[in-house]
Amino acid sequence: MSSPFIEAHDVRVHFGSVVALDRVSFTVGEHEFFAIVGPSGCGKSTLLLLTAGLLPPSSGTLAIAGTPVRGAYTEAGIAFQHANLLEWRTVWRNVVLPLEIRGLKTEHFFTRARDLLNLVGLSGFENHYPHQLSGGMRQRTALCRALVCDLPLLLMDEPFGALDALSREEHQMMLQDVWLRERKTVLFITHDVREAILLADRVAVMSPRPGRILNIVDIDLPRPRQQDVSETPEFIEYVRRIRASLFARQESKAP
Amino acid sequence: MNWWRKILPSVVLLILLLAAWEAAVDTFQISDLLLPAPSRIVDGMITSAPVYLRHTWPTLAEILLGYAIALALGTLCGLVIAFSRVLGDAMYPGMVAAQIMPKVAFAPLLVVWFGFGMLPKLILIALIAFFPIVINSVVALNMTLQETIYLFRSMGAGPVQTFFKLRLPNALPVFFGGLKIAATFSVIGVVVAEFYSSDRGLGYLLLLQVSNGNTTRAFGSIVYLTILGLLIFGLVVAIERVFVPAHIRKRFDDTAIRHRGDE
Repeated sequence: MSSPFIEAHDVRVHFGSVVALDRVSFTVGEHEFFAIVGPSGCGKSTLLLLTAGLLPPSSGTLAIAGTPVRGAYTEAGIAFQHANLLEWRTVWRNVVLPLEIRGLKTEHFFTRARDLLNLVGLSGFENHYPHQLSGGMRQRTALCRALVCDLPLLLMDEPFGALDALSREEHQMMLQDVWLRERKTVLFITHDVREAILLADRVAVMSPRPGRILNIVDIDLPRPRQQDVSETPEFIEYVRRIRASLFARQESKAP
Repeated sequence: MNWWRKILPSVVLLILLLAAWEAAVDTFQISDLLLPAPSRIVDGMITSAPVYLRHTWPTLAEILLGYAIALALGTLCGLVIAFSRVLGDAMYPGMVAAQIMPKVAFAPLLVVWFGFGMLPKLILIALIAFFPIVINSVVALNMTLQETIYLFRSMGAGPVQTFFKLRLPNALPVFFGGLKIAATFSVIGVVVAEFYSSDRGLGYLLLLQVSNGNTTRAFGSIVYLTILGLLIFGLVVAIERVFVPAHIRKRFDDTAIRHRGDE
């Protein structure tokens, strides 16, 4: 693993008496694609908000690039499951919104915005409004918005969760292409075990209530990966191991 | 152009209804005192146009001024309630309760307090138009999604940028919905206010015509008041068109109509 970029140490979050995250520790290396997989309600979205500095930990520490996160962390792009585009702005004006806010309206960044739109197949849609786009196109617009400022970190919370199975597969491949070009550090939240293995360098497995990291699995598959990698014995073994740790806990809880 | 296809059914229906009215008055020999025929009403509106118009201007001025007061105070209160938790918690329940209170009931009291001039009319119109503006402003400004706020914070946006780039544009469709309700309310307000204390205006004229047994002319006053209401409403719609793109207006149209139906 390269030098550590995100370091979570003994992080605990509770809302009143409900413990959302309990003693969570992990490290994400620079330029690493790190996926967190877990069932609904395991606090994985909470973990993303925590990393973004949008939610303070009840105890424990979370540091990015050696500095503890206090208040909103502004050196990360975020993409949620819902694209959260501004409906009154065109695709182009949604993508350049972060440039407006940060005062980065330079030719360099406009060129980057055009490149990104081209990379995700949205060239020619710059003047469309969000309501004229498919769910996948909205999600790709949101991805361009998250990347346009060229920040070192990309936080994604089930970005393809609302897409149909086929376009989800397309978008996974597109995200891999973007990541191979950009090499951002990525924290990727999903409940889809296959998606996590397909995209990530390492996969953290979380348990539900209270959210804990049960296991971190290194995914040693060559890149670029194609969808048919999921038919290889190695991939099937990763699926088996991750499912085993997800379900082992539920069985041990039963008696 | 497709717009005439859309309005054609309503125009045809209106003509049919007026024709039925005309025919009914004719057939059953209904007295003008009870129900004048549409043709007689229109005739009266044209021949007495100078009288009507003389009384239209003060009514129009009262509506515009009263509405402007409601707009300024309503928007201000809406902003305060939406942005200050303490003031919001203190004021908002009262605002909702006050919306249910029949404001026109204050008309006679306003005469006691402020006499027979323009002031009591402006106050009643402002009072009646104020609440839908406040309530819709608060709802509109609080409509922003939490995740989008998170995105803005992570982009390093301050409160001013978040307001102008997110909360305000996001609020506009529902805010204009409130302005439209207030526009229709302001016409009710002016009529009631002029009933109670006036020597001019369409409300005063209407009352005078009824007490003189001139039902035909009274109907004319009602038509003039309706035209006035449509003009105010149209003005708000025209301003909305400048600020809210068509695709967003379309999405909110149905909710606005439902809301108006509730009042």
